[in-house]
Amino acid sequence: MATIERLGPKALCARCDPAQFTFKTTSELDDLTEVVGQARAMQAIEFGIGICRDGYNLFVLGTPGTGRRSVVRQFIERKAATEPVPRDWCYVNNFEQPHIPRLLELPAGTGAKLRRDMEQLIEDLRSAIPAAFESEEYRARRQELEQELKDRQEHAFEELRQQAEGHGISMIRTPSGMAFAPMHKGEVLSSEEFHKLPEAEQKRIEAVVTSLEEQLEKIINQVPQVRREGQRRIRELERDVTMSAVGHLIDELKKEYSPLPKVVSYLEAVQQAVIDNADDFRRQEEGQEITILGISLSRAAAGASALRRFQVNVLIDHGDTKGAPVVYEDNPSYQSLVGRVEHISQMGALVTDFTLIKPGALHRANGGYLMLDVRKILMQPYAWEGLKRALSSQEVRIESLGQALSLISTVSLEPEPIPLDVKVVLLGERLLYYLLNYFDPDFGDLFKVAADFEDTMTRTGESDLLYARLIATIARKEGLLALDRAACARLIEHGARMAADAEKLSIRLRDITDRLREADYWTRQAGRDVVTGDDVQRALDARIHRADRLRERLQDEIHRGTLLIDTQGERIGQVNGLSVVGLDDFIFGHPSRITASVRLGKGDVLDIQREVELGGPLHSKGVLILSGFLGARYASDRPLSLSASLVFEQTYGEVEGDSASSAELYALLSALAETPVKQSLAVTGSVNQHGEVQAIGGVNEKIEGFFDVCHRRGLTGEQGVLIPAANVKHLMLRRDVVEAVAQEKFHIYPVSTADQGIELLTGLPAGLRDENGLFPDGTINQRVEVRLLILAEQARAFATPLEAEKET
Amino acid sequence: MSSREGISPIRRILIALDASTSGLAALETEVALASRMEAELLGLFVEDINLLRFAALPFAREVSYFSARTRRLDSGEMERALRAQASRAGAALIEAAERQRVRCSFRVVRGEVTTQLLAAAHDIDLVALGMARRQFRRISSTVRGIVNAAQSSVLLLPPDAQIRTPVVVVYDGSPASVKALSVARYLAQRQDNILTVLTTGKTENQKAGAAEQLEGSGLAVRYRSLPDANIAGVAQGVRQEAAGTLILCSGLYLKEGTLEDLLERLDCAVLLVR
Repeated sequence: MATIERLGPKALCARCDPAQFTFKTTSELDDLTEVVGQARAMQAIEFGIGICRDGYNLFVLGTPGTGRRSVVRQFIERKAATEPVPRDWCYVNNFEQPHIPRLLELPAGTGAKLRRDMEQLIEDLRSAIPAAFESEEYRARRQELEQELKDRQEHAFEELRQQAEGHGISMIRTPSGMAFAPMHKGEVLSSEEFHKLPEAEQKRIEAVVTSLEEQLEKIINQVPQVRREGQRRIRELERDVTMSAVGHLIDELKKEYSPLPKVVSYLEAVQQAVIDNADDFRRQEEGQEITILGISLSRAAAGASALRRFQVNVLIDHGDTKGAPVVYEDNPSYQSLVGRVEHISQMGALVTDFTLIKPGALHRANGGYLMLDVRKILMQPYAWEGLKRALSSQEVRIESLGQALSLISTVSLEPEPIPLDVKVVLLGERLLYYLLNYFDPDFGDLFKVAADFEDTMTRTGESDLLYARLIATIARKEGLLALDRAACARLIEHGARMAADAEKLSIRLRDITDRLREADYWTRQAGRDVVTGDDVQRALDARIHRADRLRERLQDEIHRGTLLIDTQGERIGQVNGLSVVGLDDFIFGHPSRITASVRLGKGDVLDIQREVELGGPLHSKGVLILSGFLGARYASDRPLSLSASLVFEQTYGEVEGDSASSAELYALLSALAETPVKQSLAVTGSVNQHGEVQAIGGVNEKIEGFFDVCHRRGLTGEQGVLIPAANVKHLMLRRDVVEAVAQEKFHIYPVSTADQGIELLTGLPAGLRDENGLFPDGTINQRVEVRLLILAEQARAFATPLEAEKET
Repeated sequence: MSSREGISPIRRILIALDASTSGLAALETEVALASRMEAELLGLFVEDINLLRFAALPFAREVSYFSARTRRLDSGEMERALRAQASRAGAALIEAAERQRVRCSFRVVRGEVTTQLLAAAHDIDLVALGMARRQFRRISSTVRGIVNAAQSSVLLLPPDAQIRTPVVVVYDGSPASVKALSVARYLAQRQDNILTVLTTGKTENQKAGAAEQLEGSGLAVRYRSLPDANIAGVAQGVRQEAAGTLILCSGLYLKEGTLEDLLERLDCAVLLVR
């Protein structure tokens, strides 16, 4: 029987020696300038930010709390500061198609200037145009034109009237027109008088009247034409007058903005619009305010509203921006990304214009960098689609969700889209990255660079000092007390424990920072100004204490015998398995009793947990492997005629993972061999079909869970835990466990095979097959094989009579 | 008729009604004036005998304003049209008068328009005439007849004119112009308390006379002397003052031309005081 060496105390925890440090407190240490342990991610970020090609946007993935956001932001901000300031973007009215506002791209800072210039222009026009129309020249000219119009109309009537009078006929007004009546002494000729006239005279009068009527028809027909002509000339006059007021003001602006052809073209459109709508400026002076239910109805108000058309909506103003913009959008909804068109209520209806266009994060970040949390953007309806559309088309088109989905057909704006040149940096968990990569065919095209942040760094000789500098940097940045060497050493050990690996250190900055803050609190409570190792330990203990109510309950119930766990003596088919419970970020281990029973059957190993649907798939897999192991080792040439049941006793929730499969195997072997197992030992580790014991997770918590049970009952010196040999490098055990092992009151055995495990548990050799292929007598394997042989024979005995009956 | 005691100088107003658009627009102004002057209104619609005579002629036709087409007329049709006009005009008068709480009466007569109006105006303070659009600025024969023959004051309302501010009065120191000033004072006091006095002739004397008459009126009075008391000078002065309502006396001395000539040059409401 091979002897398995128990692990010495040094193997149980990779201590950090404070004496290796030369500093007294962390205040002597320089700040870290580089990012610890993230070389791969930083190279990816550098590449992703540096490359200026379509689709080379970044996805920064990793566990939350690794400091991704601040690291990436600092990096991008440093880079952005050296880059040129992007241009301003403005929306102005499109006078020909108001529902498609015009876009102006201007040098940084020019947008606000154009807005001020336009405000000034409108202010000037509001006084200049009414003044021009008040001038004597305009009035005289207008009166002249109106008179001319009247005269032209009246001239024809007058001529006709005179012509009629020449024939003794008067032009008279009837209720709905005009007529020609023969007159006599100032009165219309009566019918009787008319008939007294000679017939020739009567005919003459009738002929003249008919001719006059025809001429009158022609004159009346010409009236609208003459009126139109007159109106046209008045309009022309008004345009000339407006032009005299507007021309030089606009010319000055055009000269100023001559290097910007689009602005000059806009100013020309403004000039035309002012000339066409001079009334809007003249209304300002007229009319008192009339309101109904608070809504202004006066012409002045209507004019003021019309003047909004001449405003400049500076969507993005980079006047005060230094370098390229870096935008982090905390609420990446669809509208906060692509912008929106707001509405105002007028007389119960919602109306809008180009001044109500508001920018989104993509506009603000255009020409720079946009950082987004991928989880947040995926949780906002249509935001992800909106972002992708903008990145694919390289332009931001502002449209409401209603428009985008064709849900509404009310008239709204269709602002010209803005060309987009932005580097998007998504921050998210690994799972989301892989899900997007798998399910979204566009994702790979748009986010070509992944920067994967590590959770841990390798622990080497130099890394301890580096970690101490990281601690010093965080402490200073957070305004916390300096730490002494022992405090640093304790935190480094905790870093390894957080990494669940003696050869690694956790670089989850959030956790480190939290521990530092808590240690700082306890130090200040104690009235000291330097954090010591004890303060750190107190912070760690206090944190566990805050979280371990459930663990304590479990320990209590084991101690009180409610949960049945034996820690001494021997039992057949009963092994102490170990499991872990994860609550939030607090994980603890505790023992569970695993029992096995065997009987004659068809070779099934019955997993009670699975039967009642309290076993996860990995657990079931572990149990099924046991059948494979038994069949291969003991019954390769005959049927496996047993039926075995395995139970995790007193568990009321789901059991998942295969870390108990070795314990289940030992329970099964014990039951088959009818050999008792030492209850002073607990077991963890998974097993494969060849009987090799494999590494599991949570080894530290599992050992500590069993240790706590034993410690509370009193350590006998017999108790201990069998762990997979591959897990030794992960050991970062509590100090009390290490001390108990050092005093040989508790033992930890690294086990590589199931044979080693069963030997430790039973005290009997496992046994190897001899040259005849038989296991030596008295070994566990021999006992198991014999038992299986007996079961097979019994099975055959049961089967024979039935076969005979069939033959007869 | 002194306004010093606050008694209106105009107590009864005769309105010559017709149902044209300009006539109905003038009606609103005339009723408003009656309300301001606390006067009683008498509406008179004259069925023009000349029109009825014309309609009886065998070739009676009219050319429509709207369609420029010629159509036959007969006496029955003309009578119906005049009755309808009278009815519309009467209803409009009563509705406007009730709205502005002015006492009014309405009657329809048949005959020659000027004669009938003059006959109805014998115990009237003011005859109000809404003027149709004038041709070549000429006032119609009816207006001319009333202006020349009426014993009462006459209000002439050109198309689109209203009793607006500022009130402007032409004052030449004559007894008639004293009366005009008195009416102007009364009207201005009931509008915006601003009065412009245009003086002709010996300015200082006239101004002193007018100022004396306006003393204690509480009006803000602006005096302006007209360099030329001819038609063009008065018309220009009125235009420059942008007069809303012009008050003249019927015997206004004009160096050349007649009152009719002056009236033809004015576009504002004119109150000719007798």
